[in-house]
Amino acid sequence: MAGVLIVEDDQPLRDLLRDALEKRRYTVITAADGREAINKFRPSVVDLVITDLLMPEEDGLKVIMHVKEMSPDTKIIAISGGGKAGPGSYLSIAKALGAKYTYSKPFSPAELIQKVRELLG
Amino acid sequence: MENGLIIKIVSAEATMKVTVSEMLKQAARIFDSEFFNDFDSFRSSLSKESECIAVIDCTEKYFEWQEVLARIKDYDENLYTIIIVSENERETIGRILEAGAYDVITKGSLSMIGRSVIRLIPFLDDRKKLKELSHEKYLADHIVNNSRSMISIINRSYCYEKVNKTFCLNHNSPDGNFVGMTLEDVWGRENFRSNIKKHIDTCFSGKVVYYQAFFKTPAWGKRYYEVIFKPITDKKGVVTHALAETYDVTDLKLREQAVSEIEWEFSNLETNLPIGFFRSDKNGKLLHVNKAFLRIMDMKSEEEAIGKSISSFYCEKDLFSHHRKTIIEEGRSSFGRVSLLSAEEREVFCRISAFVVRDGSGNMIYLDGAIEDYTREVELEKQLLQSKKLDTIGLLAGGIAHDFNTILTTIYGYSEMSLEGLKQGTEAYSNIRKIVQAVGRARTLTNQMLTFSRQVGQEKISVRVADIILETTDFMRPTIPAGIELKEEIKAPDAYVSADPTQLYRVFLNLIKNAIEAIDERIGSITVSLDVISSDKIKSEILNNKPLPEYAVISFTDNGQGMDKSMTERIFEPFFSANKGGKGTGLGLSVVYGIISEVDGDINVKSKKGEGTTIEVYIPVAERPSLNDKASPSKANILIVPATDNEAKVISIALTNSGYNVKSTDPVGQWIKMTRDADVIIVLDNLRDTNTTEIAFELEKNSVDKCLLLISDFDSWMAEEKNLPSGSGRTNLFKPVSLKEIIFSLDSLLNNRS
Repeated sequence: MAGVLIVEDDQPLRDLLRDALEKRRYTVITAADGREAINKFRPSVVDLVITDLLMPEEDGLKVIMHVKEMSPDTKIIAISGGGKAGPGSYLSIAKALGAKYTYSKPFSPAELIQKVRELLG
Repeated sequence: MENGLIIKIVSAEATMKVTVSEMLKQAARIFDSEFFNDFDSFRSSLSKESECIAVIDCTEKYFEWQEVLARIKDYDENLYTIIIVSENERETIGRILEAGAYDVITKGSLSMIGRSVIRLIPFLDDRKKLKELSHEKYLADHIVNNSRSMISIINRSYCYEKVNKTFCLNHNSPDGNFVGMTLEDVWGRENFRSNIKKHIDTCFSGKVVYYQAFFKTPAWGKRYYEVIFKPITDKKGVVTHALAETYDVTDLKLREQAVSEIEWEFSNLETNLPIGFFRSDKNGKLLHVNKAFLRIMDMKSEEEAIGKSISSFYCEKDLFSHHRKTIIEEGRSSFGRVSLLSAEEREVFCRISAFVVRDGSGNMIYLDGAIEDYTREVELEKQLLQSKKLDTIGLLAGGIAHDFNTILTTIYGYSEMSLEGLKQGTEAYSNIRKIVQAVGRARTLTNQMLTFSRQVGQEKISVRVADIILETTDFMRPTIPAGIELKEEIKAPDAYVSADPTQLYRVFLNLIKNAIEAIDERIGSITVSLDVISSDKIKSEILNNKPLPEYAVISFTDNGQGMDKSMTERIFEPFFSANKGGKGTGLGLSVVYGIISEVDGDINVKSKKGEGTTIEVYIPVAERPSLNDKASPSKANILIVPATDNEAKVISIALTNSGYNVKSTDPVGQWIKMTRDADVIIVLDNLRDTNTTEIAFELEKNSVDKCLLLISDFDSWMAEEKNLPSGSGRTNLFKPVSLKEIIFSLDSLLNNRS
């Protein structure tokens, strides 16, 4: 089954996304910040990355750049909580860097899962 | 002794001396006589200071008249000499007179000598006068030459005929011979033409001329001279010359100028300094105030102020007596930021400094002082404090909202997961639905908090303000209570501003809702007006950032309950509500503040308790979008459903102005046909005539495979979401939406499609 890397510094949300994806039988790897995500990312295992943008250590944009550099085919979904410069601008950068979909918190996790299914076929 | 006249009689004969002196006495005049036996002793007695008449006896051979007269002439040509000759020399008389004798008397007619002397007296007086005259002339010359004025006599050819010493000295030429030189030679062409000619010409016409002027002199630089020209006339009354008196008054003038400058500066200071001066009697009753005082206290004339007690200006009357006491005890004192009430009942913050004026015996007679207006500073400080406060709250609110959105996602996600396994109608299902609804409300709140804290960012486009106002009032009108009238006054129909139309719509909605809530009795009127004002006509307190040239002013006026000052200062704080009983969310106006700050605008609140409120929104005027922009190829074809909804119209305006080709339709009749040309269909759920779910189904049923952007209320959407047909090209947005979000979603949809 396809592998998904969840990068989110808020543990309950990370757990929620993991629960929801595991329920759909995806292989889930989680990371609590950007640096951990970069360390854990393996293109052979991960087919899709869901990443928060504003995080301690390295932020989500760094994660997206790293992923795209290592493996241009890996799908990315970016989520943001409405940060200092506004969610729109952060999310639009994420989009420009290659995120397929972006979500502004609060979003419907069910809808996000639907997009995961769509992207991973 | 009369005239101090001495008769000197020279004769070798004693009898002759006696006879002559006897004869003179007979002439009824008393003369001092001196007798000399020989010519040499007579000669040595002569002195030029005293007048004398010499009577010389030449009857004997002692004195030869020729020799006598020659020697006398040698000494003093003008000495009157009477020669006595013997009878037989009568024929020589003519020759003697010719030789210079005054008179010749023969020995036989000695009695004539008295008459001869008496006849001489007037001549002697004249001589004396002449002497005196020459002394006077000497004195006059002395005066003229030592005068501090330059004195000169000038003829009609503008030539100097006479100048005094001062004139020479002043021209750096002590021995200078100015006679014959012209005025132009001496003073130069420029001075002559500009300072001299017309004046001296007036003098030549017979008038005394007095004037002062600056002269440029080669020797002394720029000098200021006082000049008097007096005409000098001949016997016929024709002016032949001018007497010029020129006095250097440069130093005097400079001193005078300095003094008058100081005086002027002081009166200028008193008039123009923003410091109000006052003099009051010992009890504080005003006797004199300056203009600044009147200005500060909103009074028109000094009469208005005089007689009033200073205490009458104090907001706290007791404070004045306390201040007065301190001033009297300490002699002088000052008090910062005293709250005063102007004649127009405006609160003025002043620094008051005053001191006691005493008479010679130490009794207090006056209380003098100054007031300085700090109102503007106090107001600005308050404003600064307020905006700092709002910034701090904004930062806090933004931070909270950010974290809160993450938490809400988790709450919502688990609710969603739980709902999946539950049947509709069960208690657990309906409970979790309520949790979802609460998440929806919480989301609205966090969105407002982010908007207030200006962390959302706006997509700014040039938009006609009147369009948005009319959509807002059109939307509100059916919902407001029947007793409230809502009017528009559009004075600037073509005013454009650079802003997000959906956010402006939000601002106007909030302000109208706020006005409705302010009308307690449910009867009243609300006026929304639009005008364009140049920034120099706007009070500087309102636009404290550097103002732009023109502002669109949108004002919302209600005749509701109004607010007091402490309230108007705080209405933009989040969760501060002017309404009793907690109507509204308490975030509405803070959102307005956030949005307007984002477009470099400002808000001014004017309110009076019991009379109503006017909220003025100032937004810099933007250029009207040019036709070229519209001619550029359209980004995509958008169909908006429904067409009649006001918010949909605003979105339509926003997208059209952003370069999209926008059409709209209501979901009735053959509307599906309209979808053929659309790249993206935007569906707005307004709970009245459109429901996003139904439309999504209708599109699926008609096999319309287009990108869909569904805009709905979060919680109403939650209830329907899981029933939506699955589709790849679909994005959901929740109200309130911003143009930025819409454009971002449209771009995503169009990119993913291609």
